[in-house]
Amino acid sequence: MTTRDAARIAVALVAVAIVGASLTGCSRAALAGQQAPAAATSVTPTSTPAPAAASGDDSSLQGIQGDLDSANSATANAGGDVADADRSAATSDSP
Amino acid sequence: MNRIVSTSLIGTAAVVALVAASCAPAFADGTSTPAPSTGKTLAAIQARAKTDTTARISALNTAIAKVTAAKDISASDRSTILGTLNGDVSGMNTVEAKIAADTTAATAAADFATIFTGYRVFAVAIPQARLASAADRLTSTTVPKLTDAQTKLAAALAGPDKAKSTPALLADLADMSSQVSAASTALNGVSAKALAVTPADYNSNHAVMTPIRTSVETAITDLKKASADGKTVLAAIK
Repeated sequence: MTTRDAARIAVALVAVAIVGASLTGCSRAALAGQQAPAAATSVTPTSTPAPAAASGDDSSLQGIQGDLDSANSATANAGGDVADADRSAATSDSP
Repeated sequence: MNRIVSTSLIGTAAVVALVAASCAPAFADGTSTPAPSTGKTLAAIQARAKTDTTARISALNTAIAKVTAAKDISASDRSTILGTLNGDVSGMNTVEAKIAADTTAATAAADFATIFTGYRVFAVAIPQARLASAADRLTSTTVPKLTDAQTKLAAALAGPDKAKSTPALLADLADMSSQVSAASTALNGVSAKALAVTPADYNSNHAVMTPIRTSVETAITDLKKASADGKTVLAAIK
């Protein structure tokens, strides 16, 4: 084996190593790419209950506030209706 | 001297009687508008009829637009209200045309009176539409929303926010419930009563709309108190 042959073998081994490393990286990346969506779809439901408990309280309070706001809005409109009735009734309706 | 005094007294009494007599119809009708048909020419009556019917048609159209746009009026009441208001628009156009075609002041005067006695647009039609609308809004939206809020607040104070519960907050909750209940009682049958009033009812009793208005106003007052109670409790558990 000449020095040149040894160099060729060394270069070939390095090349194989590089390709192998690349393939390993690709497979990891591919695996990561596959797992990412899976994690997103599976983790989200399992992690939802925890925030839901916290935001559930908030949304419950917001729901009560919404009820009160809706009630107040309708009451205000009813007050406007009564004012309209009063204005009309105060207008002369006799010859 | 006595003759002078007695003459003065008689004269004063006569003046007072004349003033009282001239004012009496105005107070009875709730208006100081003089009757245009008395001693008026045909042209004057026709002109006044045009003015009065136009004013009523304008007010009716405004009321129609409001009732049409309102979202929380029951379909049945909306139909009844719009039927009355649109019918009155038609009636105003009809009576105005008839008066315009009248050939004597006497006939025109008689027709002119029906603008008021036959329709009572300002005294009955529009007030009953607005009061029925108010009752519907309160019944269909305010009462259920406040009931929901009261239920949720009670659940919060009994459960997750029990540590924040105080006798005062529980009293507010109880009052909230009582006020909503009182309002519901006041509103019971009000829209139907409002819509049942006719011009003839008003002609025989000018205060016929008063108890209906009072019921709606009472309910509004109760529901405002209930809302204030709810607001207090909510602020405490936030």
